Amino acid sequence: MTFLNPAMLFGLLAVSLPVAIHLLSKPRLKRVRWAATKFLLASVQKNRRRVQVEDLLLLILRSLLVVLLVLIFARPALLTDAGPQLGGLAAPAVIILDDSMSMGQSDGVKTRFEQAKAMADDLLDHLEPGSSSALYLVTYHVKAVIPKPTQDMSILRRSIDQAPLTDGGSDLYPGIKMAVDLLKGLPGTHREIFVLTDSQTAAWRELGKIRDLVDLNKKDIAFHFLSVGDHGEDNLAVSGLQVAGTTAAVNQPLRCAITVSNWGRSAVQNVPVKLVADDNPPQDEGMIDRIEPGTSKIITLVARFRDPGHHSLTASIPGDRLPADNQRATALLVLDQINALVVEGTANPDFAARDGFFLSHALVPVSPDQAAQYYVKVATVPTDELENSTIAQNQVIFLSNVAQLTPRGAQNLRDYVNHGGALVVFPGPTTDVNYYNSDPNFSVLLPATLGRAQGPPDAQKFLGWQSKGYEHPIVTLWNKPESGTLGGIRVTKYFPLTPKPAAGGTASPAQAAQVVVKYADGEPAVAEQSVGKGKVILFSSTATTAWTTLPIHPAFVPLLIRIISYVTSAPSGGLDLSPGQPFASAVDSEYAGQKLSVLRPGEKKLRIVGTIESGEQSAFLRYADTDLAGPYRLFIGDDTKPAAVFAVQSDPDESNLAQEPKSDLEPLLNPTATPDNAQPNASDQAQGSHRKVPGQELWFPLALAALLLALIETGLAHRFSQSK
Amino acid sequence: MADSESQSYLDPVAISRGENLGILARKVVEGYRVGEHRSPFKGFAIEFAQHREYTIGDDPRHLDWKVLGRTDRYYIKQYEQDTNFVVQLLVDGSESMNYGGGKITKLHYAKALAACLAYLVLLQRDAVAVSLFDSESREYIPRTDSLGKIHHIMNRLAAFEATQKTSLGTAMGDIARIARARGIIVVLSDLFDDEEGFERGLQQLRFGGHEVVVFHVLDPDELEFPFKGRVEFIGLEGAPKLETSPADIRKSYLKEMDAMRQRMRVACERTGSHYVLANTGLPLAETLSGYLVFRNKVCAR
Repeated sequence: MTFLNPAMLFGLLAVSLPVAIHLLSKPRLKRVRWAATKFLLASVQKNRRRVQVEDLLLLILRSLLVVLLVLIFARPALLTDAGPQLGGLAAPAVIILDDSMSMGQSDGVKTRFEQAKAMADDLLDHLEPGSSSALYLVTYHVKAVIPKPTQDMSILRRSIDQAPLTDGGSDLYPGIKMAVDLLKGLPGTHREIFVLTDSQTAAWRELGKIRDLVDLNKKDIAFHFLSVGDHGEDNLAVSGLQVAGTTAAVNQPLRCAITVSNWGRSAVQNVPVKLVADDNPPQDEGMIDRIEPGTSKIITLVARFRDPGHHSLTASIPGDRLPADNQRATALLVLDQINALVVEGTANPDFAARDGFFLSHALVPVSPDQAAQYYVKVATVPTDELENSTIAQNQVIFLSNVAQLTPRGAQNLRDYVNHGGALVVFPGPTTDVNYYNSDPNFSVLLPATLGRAQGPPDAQKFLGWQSKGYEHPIVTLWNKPESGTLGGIRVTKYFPLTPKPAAGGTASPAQAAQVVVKYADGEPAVAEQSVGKGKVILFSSTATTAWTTLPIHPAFVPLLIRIISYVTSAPSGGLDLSPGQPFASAVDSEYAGQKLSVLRPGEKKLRIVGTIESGEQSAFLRYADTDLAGPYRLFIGDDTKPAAVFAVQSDPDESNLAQEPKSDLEPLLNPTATPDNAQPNASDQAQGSHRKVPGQELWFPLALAALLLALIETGLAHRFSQSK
Repeated sequence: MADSESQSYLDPVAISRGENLGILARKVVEGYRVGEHRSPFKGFAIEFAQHREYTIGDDPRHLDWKVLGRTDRYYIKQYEQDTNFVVQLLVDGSESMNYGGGKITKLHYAKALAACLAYLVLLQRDAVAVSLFDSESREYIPRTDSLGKIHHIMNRLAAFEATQKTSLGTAMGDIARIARARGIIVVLSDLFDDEEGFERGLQQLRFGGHEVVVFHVLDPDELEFPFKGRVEFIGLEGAPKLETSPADIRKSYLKEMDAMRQRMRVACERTGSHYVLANTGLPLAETLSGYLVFRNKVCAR
């Protein structure tokens, strides 16, 4: 038998109290000069022995009662054989529970997460008496459910039981680092960290740092890495969903590229893929014939939206043992129409020779009678129209052969881009290079500086665009053989572009410029950058046939369509988030203070989650509980139309359930030096030392005995007083 | 009578003064007599002395009708002169009588009771003698039938202090020898003494033809033993100290006390004596009048 609270045994000293009271008590003695002493003597003689026996009996009972109470508080327990033991001394510990998406993999009965929770619960049973533990849930982020070690096992068990699985990605290092920092700040020399994970490769992405951390602290902290799940479970996942180069507009076919990955060991065939808009029946379906193990396949499905506003698209495949990655959602803003403004640098009476001719026609590539229904509306204006504040009504502005802008026009344009507008610049014969490179408002918008206009180098007749290897999203379409190539676009004159690095410290900080497409010689042909909330694309040659064949190339129309799609896509910050990433969106300030509700993935009922926050110039929708993947819909007040839709997408790597090879983890599983006062196990599966541990507690029968004793003592004391 | 008034005289300081004792006695007795109670103390032995011839004017009630019947002559009986009977008051003045749980001790109570009895007897022109004793007779006030002597009796009673052990049997034997004429012997004692000696004393007195009345003077504490907690009983008359928890022995003590009282009562009954429990917790007048009324009823039969 042992005692879970042996310190309480000092209470046995309290047994001396009734004895001391019995022996030493001198209650206030009354003295009486008494005449009838002979009668007293007779009585005392008769009762002396009986009184002594009664007093002794009561003393014994009371002393026994004190002993029982002390034992109860000392929590005696029978010793039983235990399984593999962890640690060896009462110590503060941290239990790190991997709650990433991959832990949702089921073996047909239990998920890995359920197995890990059961293991954690079992851990608590085997902690040394007096030990305490904190509890962390880890994905990319660390959630300290119990931030500091507690001895309250009931709270620990409840927290483990209620711990939710997320769709987050795995990274064990931040959680282990946080646990080490916590334990190092605690007194004592023996501490433990238990990591329960499926040991997925992704979880060990910072293996080197973990090794270093363990090596540095192994003298003071015992690290235990406990693995659940089998090696390399087969898994099929929707690993990508992208709206491919088309603008989300009402009634326009929206092409969606859906990537399905096979993380299994054998090929899978005939994988049906569905595409669903919002919660409606599937809009499109397709079949992937075959996906080889370790590879991915892309299938393109089409969706259409009848109403403008915030929507979601969800691609799905049939469920398997990890259902969380069998679907992927994206959120998008469907526009009613795209307003495009074409600014012509020069006026030309010849309509076909105007600077905006090819642009305006390519932007509305339908017959005139269909133009009214087409989603792109084009207006062609002269340069000075840029001074007009109405330019903000356009989603994209094209500048074609504009020499300079007026100061006001340049300022207007800068504000327009900063507030989310898109600008596409085609220089031309009248372009003032110095202006483009030095104007304080206009130059900061451009992703590259312009060199002097020149012809092809090396006395070539023309310079062509690159013919393959397209990396920028605008031009990736032409990586497919069936899409042709952009190499046929020829340029006879151009402005050499020198992409600018990221600019900081200005009113409109710009990110680093990207090359959209290059010339065949590797020089940038088109560059782009984000400025404020908007985007700017700079061509190096004209939008007319003056210097290039681009306007008459078959790729011109789809290029413009993809440019429009690219520049009008999700606002800065995006509508697709990672698990745990908070969502925020500005709304009109009139909504401040109104209730905010959310419809979470898989739920049918709205949840009220707070109110719209008020900001300086606008109000904000904020929502942070984004651990589950899928579409989220936010509603303001009693409005039935969502004010915002965003999607949480899990990390595609999380679908790869292959575990980190044991050989890579060996140094962690078998540390060369053990903590001074600990007896760590190699792993939970290893055969640790078997020893006796506290089992059945005995406080309850002792409490019953104490109760019985108290009743007997009370009864006897009453009876003895009566008999006198 | 006004018990509270008489009780007010039962003040230990007051009773220490003869004058106050006399006032108390007068109050109590007058209170009794106001109730038209006759004194129960009467002469009971009228002895025939001789005959003489009847002359005119003699009370015809004293004619000896037997002689008339035999001799046809008228003769008057002459008796011995009605002598005043004597009430001997034996007051136990031993140390045990010094106990009193309340304001007054048993001795105070016995003195007051003796004073009342003395006053009552002297008031009806009978004689009273008072003996205060402990292990032997300490004070003896010879018989007197003069009410004027009442102050002297009160003073002697008031001044007496108890310091010695008891020897009731000896005291009673002494009185038996002293008292030649038959009378009434009133014993006022707690009877914490040799019981055999006491019964022997009773027998001696009764053999002498005396009527004996025993007032068993006891304190309520001695009768009820109400003590709590832990008490050290310091014995009077040289008895040892005893520390005990009264609750432990109360039942047994009461049994002993009741048994003793029963024995005293039986001894009195056996010797034809009267036994009266005088609880010092009860009003004096109640105790006295209670006995006197009882005696009146008995003597009237």
